[in-house]
Amino acid sequence: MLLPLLRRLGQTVFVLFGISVLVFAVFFATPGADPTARIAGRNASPQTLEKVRQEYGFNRPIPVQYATMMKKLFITQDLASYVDRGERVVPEIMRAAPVTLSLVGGAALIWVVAAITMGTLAAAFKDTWVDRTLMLLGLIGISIPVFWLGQVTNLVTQSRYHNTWLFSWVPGLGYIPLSQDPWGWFKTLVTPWCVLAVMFIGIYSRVLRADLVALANEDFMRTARAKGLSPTRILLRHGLRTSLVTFVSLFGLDFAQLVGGGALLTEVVFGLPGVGHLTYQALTNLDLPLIMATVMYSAVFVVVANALVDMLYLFLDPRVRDAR
Amino acid sequence: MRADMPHTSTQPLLVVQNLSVHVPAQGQLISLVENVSFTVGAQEIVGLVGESGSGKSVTAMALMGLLDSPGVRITGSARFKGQELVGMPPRLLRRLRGRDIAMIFQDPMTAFTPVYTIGWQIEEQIRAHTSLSRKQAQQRAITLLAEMGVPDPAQMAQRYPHQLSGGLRQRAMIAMALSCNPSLLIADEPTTALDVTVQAQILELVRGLRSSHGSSVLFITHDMGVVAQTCDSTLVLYSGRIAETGPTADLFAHPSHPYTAALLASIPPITGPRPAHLPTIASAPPTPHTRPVGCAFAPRCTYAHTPCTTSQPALVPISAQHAAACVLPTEGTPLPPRLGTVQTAQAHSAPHQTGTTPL
Amino acid sequence: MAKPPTDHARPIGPWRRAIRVLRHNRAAMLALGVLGCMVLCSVLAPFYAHTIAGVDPFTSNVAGSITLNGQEVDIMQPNDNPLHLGLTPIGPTGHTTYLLGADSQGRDVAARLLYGGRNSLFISACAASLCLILAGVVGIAAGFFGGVVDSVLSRMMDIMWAVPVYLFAISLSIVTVSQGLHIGPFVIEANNLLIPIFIIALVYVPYAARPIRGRVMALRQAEFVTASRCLGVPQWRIVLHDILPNVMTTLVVMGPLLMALALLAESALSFLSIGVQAPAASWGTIIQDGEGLIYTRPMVAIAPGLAIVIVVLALNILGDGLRDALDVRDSAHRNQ
Repeated sequence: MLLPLLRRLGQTVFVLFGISVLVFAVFFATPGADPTARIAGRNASPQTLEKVRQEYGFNRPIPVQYATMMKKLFITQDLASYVDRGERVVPEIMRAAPVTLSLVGGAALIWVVAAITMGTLAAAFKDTWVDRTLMLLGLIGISIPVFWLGQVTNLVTQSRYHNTWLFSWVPGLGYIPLSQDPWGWFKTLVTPWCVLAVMFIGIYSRVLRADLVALANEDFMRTARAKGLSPTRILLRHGLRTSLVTFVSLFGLDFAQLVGGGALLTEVVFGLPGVGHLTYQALTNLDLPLIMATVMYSAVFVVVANALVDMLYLFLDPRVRDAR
Repeated sequence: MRADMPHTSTQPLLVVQNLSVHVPAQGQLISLVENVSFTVGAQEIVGLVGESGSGKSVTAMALMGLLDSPGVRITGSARFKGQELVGMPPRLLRRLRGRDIAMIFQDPMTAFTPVYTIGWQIEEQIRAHTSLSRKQAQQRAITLLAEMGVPDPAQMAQRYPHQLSGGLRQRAMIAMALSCNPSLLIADEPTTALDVTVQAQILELVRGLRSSHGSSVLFITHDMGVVAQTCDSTLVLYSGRIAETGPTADLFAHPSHPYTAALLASIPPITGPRPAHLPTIASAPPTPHTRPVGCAFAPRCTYAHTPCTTSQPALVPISAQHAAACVLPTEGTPLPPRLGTVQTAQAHSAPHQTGTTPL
Repeated sequence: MAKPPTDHARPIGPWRRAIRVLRHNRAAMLALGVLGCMVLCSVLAPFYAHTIAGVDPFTSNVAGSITLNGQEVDIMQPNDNPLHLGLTPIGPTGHTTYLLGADSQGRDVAARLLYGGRNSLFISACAASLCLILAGVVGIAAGFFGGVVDSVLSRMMDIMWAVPVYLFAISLSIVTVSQGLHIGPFVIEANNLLIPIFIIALVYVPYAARPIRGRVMALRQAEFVTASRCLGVPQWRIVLHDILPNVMTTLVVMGPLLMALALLAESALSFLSIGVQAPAASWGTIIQDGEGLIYTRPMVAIAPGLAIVIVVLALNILGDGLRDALDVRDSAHRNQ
């Protein structure tokens, strides 16, 4: 029990280390990303440049710089931004994280419920018009660029039909913290939730349907039918329950990627100051500390989510449980 | 529960007449099973024998209403306790499945849903057909497992399918099939995937079912040796058609269809010297769309002659219950009776009617 | 399982059959037709711009005017707000010139849409092909050689996998977009289309390599490969003659799906103005141009978005069709 856990931990640390080195290396290998020039501003005098270089330690060997940055990020947690002088990056992420979590959590709820419903219905009505319609809808969902869908819904809810009863409740773009005004929080997020969920509903319902259809040929499904169970029970208790194993692993990865900043486009379009937005800002400003912090945050999330998925696997699939 | 049996003990439990199964393929209907007729009496074990692709599993699946490939057509009649199974509305058939007719499958490895415990899956079937409470169902599941010779049944009920050996799983499978005291058990090659020693134990178990549970068994297999040990009467299928049918003892003593004879000849004799090599049947059976006009076995038959290739041979009676679909008996050149005798089921099984139905 | 290609005539069999199946798939054929139309339209972009619409889609034209129904109309029109502050580009005209109206710089949106399609389709097609080649190499190497090679490659993929795909692409784009790419003596200009192509291809490599690796690992255990090994066939020959033809189906099925993903990624990058650089257009940049006009001239953003949806949908349908046609698993009917 302990050994696999340690191996897992080792792998995790290795992946995180790899990412941080990669980001660091790419940053310093990039021409024009020289932080000295950026911090000192345009047309700075050589003296100023030298002073900045001294102050920030850019004249020290790269590995030392890397170690210092990692120490500041993880241990003392006082890593400061290069762009907004003195702005600590860790609290900045802590402020952005709840926004992203709210966005992704709500969207995930919608997409899981919708995808399970659609996928199961499509599998139950395999090869009928119900199946074809649902799967075409799913395919369309996969094909819509999320930022464009966001814009179009904004156009509809904020401008064109904002004065009709249908969308008059939609507040302006932006984020309202849950602790401040739960109802307002819900109202601002409901549209982004749906927009973000669309693509995932498409993916998940299609994956689930394919899985259920493939399962229908399994021996145990035949046994279930031979037992005289109702078709609904066979599909839900035997088919869907078994498919959930795949579903969950897929979900864990996607959820983690989104929480780790993958929802950036949705955040940009809806003016939500989440992690993705923050990362994007950091990247456009070539603000290495913030980039490092956001990327590490995101990677930690992905890796932790992977571990969680594995644990859920144990819970869902008794075969895996014994394989350990 | 079983007090209101509508059929009397003199009437067979299952009467199948001219059962045919057709599926559409490449723009035409091809027949997987053609005009198969047989009966299963109360507490009788009937063997359904044939090579793979001979339509034996399809026959069973058709009876259970488990054939669901698109466009499949089932014709003919199958009366179970007087009720017609062919064309029965799915809802009614479903109620029959698992309660009155149960089925066990070839591969116990894959036949259980992997994510539930054995006990849960047996309970599920009990609760689907009876009004027992969860507790009672649980108790019954454990009792059944014990009856099937599963050691430490309460513990085993808590196990997941992958945690059990093949033999235990098959026992659990049989326990599940018997959970609602079905009057007919269809066993689709229940021993094929098992080790030889386990195979013998499972066969013993199946043989004992008629006395312990009063069930009839339709036993599907490709193994003539298993048939000899287990079945009261036997039906030999070849390419979806009946080749020969009759009481196992008669059939083994006087095989009247060259196919049956060839199958029996390929079993090593129990007594006497071992032959240098066993006779085999050359080439493979035809697929449903390459079936010849006449007798389907003609291309592989050593006795094939002109009448065999022109028309399908009818089923001709050899003795009271024994019939074969071959022209040889009518032409007056029946096959010689077998010399070495194979020990058959009659030697160590009760007669067909035991009168009481112990539960 | 795919049959091993034992002689040179053999590999044609499954492909021929797949094409025949695909021909009978009406949805896939329709998708192919739509894609063909889109490609044709993009190819004809200069013809449309110069001959039909008579506009220059790359220079700003805020002071210009066009003739509609014999009337001279300004491209940038006074706002309809009470103060008449600022100018709004002309909306859809319903004429050949400025069919879909103008963007904020007074350029013909319809003409830019066609030029944008050229870039979007070109980038996504090239990125998908490049990605397949890279993923093929990585997947086959990892799957076939196993051991250390597999460990190293898989860990690398893990690292890439741990960063959200879009964030990864955005990071690389931002780094390269300002300065271009300097690889030794080679310099790729920042506005070169190769940059988005490389980036998009790179970020989707783990995505594509994983299934290929799995397939190759399964093939390596297959009997015909074992047979080749026992016969002492050199490894490169096994890869080339036994593995590659069998992985090819996976690659071909992935092609359209990857191109769909690449097109979406390209539009996202361009939307964030770190993909295709001005004055060149892509569907993503036009959506970006239309963002400011979304409430007044929504057509500027809607039209390219629709184009993306149509092409991506067609690619997905085609990919599904190819998978159904090539997947040997599905064609093997359950027989009793």
